[in-house]
Amino acid sequence: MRRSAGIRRRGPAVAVWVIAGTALALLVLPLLAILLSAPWPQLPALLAAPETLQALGLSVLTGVISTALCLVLGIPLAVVLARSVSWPVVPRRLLRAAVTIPLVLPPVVGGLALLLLLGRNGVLGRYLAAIGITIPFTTGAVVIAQTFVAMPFLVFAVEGALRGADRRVELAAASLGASRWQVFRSVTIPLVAPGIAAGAVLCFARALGEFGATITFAGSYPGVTRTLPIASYLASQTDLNQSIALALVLLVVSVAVLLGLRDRWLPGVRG
Amino acid sequence: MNASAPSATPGATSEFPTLCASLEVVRPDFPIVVELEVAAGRPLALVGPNGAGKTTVLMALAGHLPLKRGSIRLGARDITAAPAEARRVGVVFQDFLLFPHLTVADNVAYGIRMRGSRLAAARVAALPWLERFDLAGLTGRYPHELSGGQAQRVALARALAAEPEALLLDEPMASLDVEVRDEVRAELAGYLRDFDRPTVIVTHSAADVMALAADVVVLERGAVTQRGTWARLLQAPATPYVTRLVRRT
Amino acid sequence: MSRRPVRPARVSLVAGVASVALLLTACSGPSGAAGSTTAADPLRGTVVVLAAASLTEVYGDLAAQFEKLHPNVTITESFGGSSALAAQIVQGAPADLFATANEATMKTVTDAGLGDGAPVVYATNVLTLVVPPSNPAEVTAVADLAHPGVKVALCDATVPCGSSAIALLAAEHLSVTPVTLETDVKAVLTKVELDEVDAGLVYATDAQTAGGTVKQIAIPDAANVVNRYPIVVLSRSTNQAAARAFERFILSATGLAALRKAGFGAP
Repeated sequence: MRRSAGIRRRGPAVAVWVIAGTALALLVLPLLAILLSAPWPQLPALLAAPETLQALGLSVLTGVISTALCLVLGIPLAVVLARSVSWPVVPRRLLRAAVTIPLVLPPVVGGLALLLLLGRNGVLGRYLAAIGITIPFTTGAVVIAQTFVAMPFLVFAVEGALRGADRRVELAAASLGASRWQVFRSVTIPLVAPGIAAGAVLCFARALGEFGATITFAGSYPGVTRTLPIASYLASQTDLNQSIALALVLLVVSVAVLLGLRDRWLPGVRG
Repeated sequence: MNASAPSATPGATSEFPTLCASLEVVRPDFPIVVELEVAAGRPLALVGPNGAGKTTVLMALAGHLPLKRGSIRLGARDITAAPAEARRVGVVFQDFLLFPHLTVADNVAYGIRMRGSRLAAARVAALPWLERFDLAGLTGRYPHELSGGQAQRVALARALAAEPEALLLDEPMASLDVEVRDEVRAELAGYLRDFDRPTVIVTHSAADVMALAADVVVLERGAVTQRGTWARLLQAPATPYVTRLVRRT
Repeated sequence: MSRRPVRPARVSLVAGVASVALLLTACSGPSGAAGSTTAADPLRGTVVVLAAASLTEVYGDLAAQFEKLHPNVTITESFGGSSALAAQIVQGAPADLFATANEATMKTVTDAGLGDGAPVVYATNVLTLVVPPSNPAEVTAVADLAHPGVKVALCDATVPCGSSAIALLAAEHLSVTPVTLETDVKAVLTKVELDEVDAGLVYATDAQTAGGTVKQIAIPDAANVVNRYPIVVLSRSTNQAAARAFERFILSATGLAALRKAGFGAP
């Protein structure tokens, strides 16, 4: 926003600062506590431990695959959702509610639902099992669980970007001879690319941190399904130092990804 | 402006095509029923008060709005059922709608790309257009870095580089600062003179009509209330609106 | 719980047999109808109990019974993996009573000086093999778990049922690769109940509670590893009196009978 010359806007009132400070404290102090409690001397050894590296590798791998899956499936869904404003009320609300489901469902319940659907005795899973495909307890199950919980983040971010962008340039593209697919690829996607990037980062962060759905649907086995959050939880019961080390790794990866976002944190908002 | 204008479509016939439209568009307040015949070389100004439906007609001609009834023919082609991307009807929108993520050069090259060229070849083919519209020094700029007049030239170059068979302009001066309008209008008149395809200009400005158009169609509340040359309208304004319009000179 | 006015009378706390007598004569229903013949009851307040997942059903019943006897007392119970609960207590979670599924996890808490007095071992549990009712992998004995292609769910080594499972399989000289190492025994049971795995090692008590949802295959005693269940009142307890009373109730004949009925063994 451009400032008119000479006019100064008053800053937030003191009360607002105080409350904002409290909110910031709530968000930041727990992280500081982890940093302060970390067993710094032992850290190199703990981080080099095979369990740590295994969990890290698995988390990053599944997180990346889940994000890719969310992009492939979620962008078209976001397009439909953005277009649904012109639909009648009931279908429009149902669609939005459906996309929101993973956000309101407790992750463990989500994992249970996935198990009941895709488990070897599940509603669909039994047919897959008949042809030799079992999903639970595989790394693929981890990806499915993470995609399930992270998808809404991507869809809403991209939908927001689509709504915020001036889509009329698509008309210009059409008048210049672009087919619908060409318009999508050469105009729509670049237009909302910052929103997509922000959505992908949120999606990755959510997938990285997923615990309940993963452990319920995919189980917990080192190297196969035991992601960083699960490993950290199990370690917290017997070896708090190990647990903190794992938590630190999660923290560092998350912060690194967020910093990589540079300017765009949320669609439409420049940092 | 270069004298050798690359405006002829390869393999064009010597016959100048005409845009013939007889259309009815549904609108919530009133229907729009219009008949137009636009010959190449005689740009048509579609004038009327705000809300009369001028832009709606333009969008329908471009293929961005469906017709309730009617037909649109461009030369020998019936484009009534054709989607916008197949009509070969170029549009210069009111706020230009340049692609914000592309440079000026790539904006102009876009239509050439969509007609099948690869990016590098399209960029080369766009060079003469960039020169012709005095954009050679701005090729690397992005739309948000352009002035109103510059953006209008880019929009025009972009539309014409795609070598359309007709050109539609929606309120071409509306997005420009008042001070530059006269100058830009004169330039636009020059560009349009070189363009030998049917052209329709939507405007509510008498100055635009006088500078750019050969014929006028007046649209009020979805219906045509007068047609003819500007001189004719001056002589015998058919409605109070036309009377006010011609008095504004 | 409805609060009733204390009637002036001498109160003598009785344990064991007396508790049974009270149980037989106590008034019915939580509506708190007047007409109780019990003496004035100084026990009141909340007792927070953290207990191993395998104690869920039995402790739930005992708490309900205890609350009927002492209407002014509310028992709040939280069940989970013993090691997770121990970690919470060490980190400062407010609790009055702690009951684990093995002595190692209890030691975490007592080593930190958080137990009031020495823990008492009052029950034992053994592992048993459970399979889905349809027994898809046709498992008949523990040795079958080592066959490739049999999907086995076990508890993680960090929880009591996991360390017991490891000890048991080692004693049998079996090399078993499970598909999952769960965070508590109930999770293992769920996987078997849902027929997502072919077999699991859970406590005998869990198999009993599960009833017909799983099929139980007993493991010969000699091959078994026994879990000893200790209980302790926590030194940080804010309601020592009621906590002790509930502990005594669990250790009473009534409590022990309930544990026996649920499948727990004698220490």
